[in-house]
Amino acid sequence: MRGMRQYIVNRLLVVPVTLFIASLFIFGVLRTIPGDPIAALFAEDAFFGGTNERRLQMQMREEIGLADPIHIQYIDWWANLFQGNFGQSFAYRKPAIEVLQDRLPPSFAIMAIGLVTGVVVGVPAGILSAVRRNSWLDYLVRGIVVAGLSMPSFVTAAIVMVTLIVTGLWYPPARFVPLHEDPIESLKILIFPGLIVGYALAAGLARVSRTQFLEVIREDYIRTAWAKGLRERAVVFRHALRNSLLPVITLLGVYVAQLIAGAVVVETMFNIPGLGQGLVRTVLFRDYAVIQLFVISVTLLVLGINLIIDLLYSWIDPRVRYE
Amino acid sequence: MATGEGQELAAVLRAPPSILERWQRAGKVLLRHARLNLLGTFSALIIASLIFVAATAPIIAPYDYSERNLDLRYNGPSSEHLFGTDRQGRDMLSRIMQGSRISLRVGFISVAIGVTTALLVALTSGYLGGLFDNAVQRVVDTLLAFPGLVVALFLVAVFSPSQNTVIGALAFTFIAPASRPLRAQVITVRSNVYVEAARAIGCSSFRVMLRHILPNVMPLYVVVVSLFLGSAIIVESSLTFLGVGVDPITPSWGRMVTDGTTSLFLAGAYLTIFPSLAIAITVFAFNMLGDTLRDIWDPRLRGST
Repeated sequence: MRGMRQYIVNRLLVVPVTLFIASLFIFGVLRTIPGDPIAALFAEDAFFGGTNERRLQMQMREEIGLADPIHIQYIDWWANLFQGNFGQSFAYRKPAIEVLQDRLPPSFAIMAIGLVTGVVVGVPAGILSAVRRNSWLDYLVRGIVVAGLSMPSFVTAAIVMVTLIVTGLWYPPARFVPLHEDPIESLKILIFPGLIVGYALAAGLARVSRTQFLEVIREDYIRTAWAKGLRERAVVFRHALRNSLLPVITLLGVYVAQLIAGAVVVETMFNIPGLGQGLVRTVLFRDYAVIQLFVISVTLLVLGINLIIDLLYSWIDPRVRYE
Repeated sequence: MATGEGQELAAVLRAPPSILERWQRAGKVLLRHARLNLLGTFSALIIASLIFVAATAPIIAPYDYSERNLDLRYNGPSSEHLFGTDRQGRDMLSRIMQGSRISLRVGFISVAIGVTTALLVALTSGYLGGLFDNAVQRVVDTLLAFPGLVVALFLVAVFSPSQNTVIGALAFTFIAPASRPLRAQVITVRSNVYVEAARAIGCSSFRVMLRHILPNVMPLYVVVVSLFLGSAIIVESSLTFLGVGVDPITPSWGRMVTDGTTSLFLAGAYLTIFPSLAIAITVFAFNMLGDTLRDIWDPRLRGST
């Protein structure tokens, strides 16, 4: 137990390092590229007949600290973050945290549906396909898996949408219903994007589970289990399954990052006001506060999930000693 | 015993094979693998024909891809227009053929730049090890926390969308994920006795990396290139779909899919299906070829898929 505590502490120490690199990177890139939120704000105003005066722009930069040296800005940003001040969004003209609060829930819902579908469908499908190797079931699963890995999610989304509309089963609603207004109505819209993201994940997981299972099934202890006269169920569930799932769990950590990409794309296809639609606008607007907050949240999310996966790993495989 | 040694010695001292002999031998090996890996051979043939189509699109396409014919708007597949016509009455088959050029060009150049950079990172980081390796790997960790598509989307939007920005952004996103397996291979190769021997006789680090490690990492490099070509096609078309890809005038598969879904009620499903198939088949071919090459070169994984 002491080893485990030490291990968790070690893993937690990685968090600030990664966070530091990510924040430095995004901060540096945003301030090196031409343009800033003030310029974008004035450009938009000028487009609608407003003023585009340089002196006013400089004055505003002074006020919000954009004229300070870059390292001062960086330290100020962290100081503000720790005080719960996440900055203002210029593109949406409200606090940056509110922008994320509006846009994260639909994206998270899609990712959650996708994650659950991916694991619940993908892993058993892969194992089943390996157990019944070279049967019609195996070929069916492999065919579906290859299709899932070869199609970008927007192509799957396009095909699903076209099929749904042509068969008359579902039409895209005129207006998106936010989760907090009417969860059921909202989920009716979010379920298809979620399943599409889940399909891509399931395909990846099924493929890895199948490969791993076939590798484990060749081990000596499996032959021993058969030789002892154990039934197939016992061999598969008690001996082979656990060991073949270990690399699958590790890969799940990598796939979680891909879920975000899937959600961004599929949202756009289904016209859902999530992160995907927000992202392009905030980048074009050089909306420093929102982009930085987004990067920090994604980093924390991915690190957190990977930590959970590490702990899960140790729970499934007692051999892992946290050294 | 003595004769056995003599034979071995004779085999070693035998004159090196002529170029013709080498080619014949390589051809035989290739044929043997082709017969054993039908799916891989099939993928290689698909890729070869794709490259052929991309190279000769303006000559072999049945129509000019930009030629409008407003009398033929949204005509379904027919004997004259195999894949039908789009919103402006342009031939879809010719447009899909033309679209292969942008996908393949962006794919090949970005993967060449990205995976080669990854190879350099993997070589130095894996071979030198120590603090340098540790620092590089923390940066790689951080980059891996972000999905490639989102990073590419960010970079392209920041540096204004164009073909070159897309290539640069894709290449950048490939460095971290491609360097991982390559670094692992470098570390495996480094522990070989012949590397130790090379160091013992005083070879410089640079020479060891270039002459002793690099050649043994090259097979994996080719595998990684093939697998990333598949994802390059996916990310490129997704960027175009999200509206930050190559310019709108250039025909690209991603945009054709988007256009297909938006004009679904006027045209029917065929405008979406054909470009979707083009993307799926291309990605499939690159993935299968990569898998086959990995099975051939990585004995540990052979036969497991």
